[in-house]
Amino acid sequence: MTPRPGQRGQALPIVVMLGAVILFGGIGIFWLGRAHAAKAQAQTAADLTAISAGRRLRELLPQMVAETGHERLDWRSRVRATADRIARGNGAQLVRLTWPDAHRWPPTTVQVTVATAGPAGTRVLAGARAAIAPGAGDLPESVGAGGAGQYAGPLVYRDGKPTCPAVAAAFDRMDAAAHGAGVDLLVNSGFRSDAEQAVLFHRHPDPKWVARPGHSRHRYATELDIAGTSGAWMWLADHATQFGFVQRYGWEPWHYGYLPGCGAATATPAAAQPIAVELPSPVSGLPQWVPVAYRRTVIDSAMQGGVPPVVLAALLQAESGYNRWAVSPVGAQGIAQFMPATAHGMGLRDPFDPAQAIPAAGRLLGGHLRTFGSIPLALAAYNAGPGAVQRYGGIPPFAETRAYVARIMALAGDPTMIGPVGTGGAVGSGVTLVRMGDLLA
Amino acid sequence: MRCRRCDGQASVEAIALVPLMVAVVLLVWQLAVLVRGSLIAQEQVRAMALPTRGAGTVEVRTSVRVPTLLPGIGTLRIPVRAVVYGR
Repeated sequence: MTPRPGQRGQALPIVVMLGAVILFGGIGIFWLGRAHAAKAQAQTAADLTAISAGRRLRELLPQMVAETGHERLDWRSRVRATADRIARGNGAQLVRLTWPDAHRWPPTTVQVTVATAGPAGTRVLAGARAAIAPGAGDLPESVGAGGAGQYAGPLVYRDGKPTCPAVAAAFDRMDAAAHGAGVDLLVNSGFRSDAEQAVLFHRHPDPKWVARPGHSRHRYATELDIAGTSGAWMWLADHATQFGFVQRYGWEPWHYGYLPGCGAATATPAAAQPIAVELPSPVSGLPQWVPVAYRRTVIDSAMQGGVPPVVLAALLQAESGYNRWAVSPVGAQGIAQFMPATAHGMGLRDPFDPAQAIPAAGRLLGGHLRTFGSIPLALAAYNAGPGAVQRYGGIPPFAETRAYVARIMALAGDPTMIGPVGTGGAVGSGVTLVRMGDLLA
Repeated sequence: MRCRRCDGQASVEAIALVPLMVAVVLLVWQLAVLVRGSLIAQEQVRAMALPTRGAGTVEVRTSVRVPTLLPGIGTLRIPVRAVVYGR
């Protein structure tokens, strides 16, 4: 090919143009990338702000539910202050903090919107929502246990179960008193060594139901799981403290611990003074928000259903706030919010009658508890139906159900039941990020 | 008429501009690497911060090293930090 005179320097503009295209294209892509990075930074700030607010909320929950006039705690300001601090720490500004489920008490979800500075003076907004995760199943017995060595002293046996002599002597006194009241007590479990606990855990490697070795109070030989004839748990709830026993966990009416410990004197004379333990009776021991008029019914119904009274009390609070005339938008009726079909199926003539509805709720929850073997699952079944719990093999991933379970666990008064504390992972500290679509759907 | 002096002129110009083109491509590449690095750093600090345990406000820091493609820049690191309520 022969270039003509006009073809001189032809490549220069082409190559320069090509270079300019690459350069400006690259710069454009860089700015787009910066915008993308700014969005990612804003989302990180939103996520961290939301999870922090959720953790703060979770931290405050026990105080919130313990307060009779919960506004006094000013929990909203405290959570907002934490969220504001975290947002600023992450280079963002807290624009909005809302409570998507504030119409129910206590709230379990918090939503935040934050803003960060984007490229070219733009403002990037991002939102995130965090919810208190329902108890995935810390075994109640693991609460506060562990650390010290297991009991290594002599063992005596009651109903074939080993325990230390001091506990056995105290149990004998209590058993005699119960017998006098027409109640027989039966020890179902006593001392368990770490090795025995390891075998148990190996058979049922589910910390939801069996404590890990070294984490059960039974290793101290001060604990008894007590059953008995009808009314045994009620009798124990009213009288066990006189003999030094306390119900360790509100949700285990059978589990009693001996407060003086195995080092206490065993040869207690018959005339010995009862051990003074400052624990409320089960009725007065229910949370303050349980109306006095319903306390006895709640206790009796819970005992009959085999569920912890505090859990039934919390369920009623979450369902209706003890409003016997409550009707939900979907038609659930009464203090226990039975759907008409469910009420009919349970033989409930009038779901607005607390004297009928509370025992029915106790029976229904007790049935779920026996079926699923854990309180969170029983609550999830109460809310979403047992079919959903079976289908998902756990608490269904419905935002409403998870909030429901978390709310009742919080109301039940033990923060350890709300969720595993500091278990790490993507959620951590019993609080999880919720996809925005989950609750909006 | 054939312009003999013009023979191969375009090729010479193109070859002469190769260093410039390389510099432009490297610059664009470096920018892209920086953006990608900042995204990775952001993801890393988020993953570190979310499960953080500890009392009160906890600060998490990390940095991501990005390859330097342009001469004379030295080592490039993108530092990021995040703050979270740790319990």
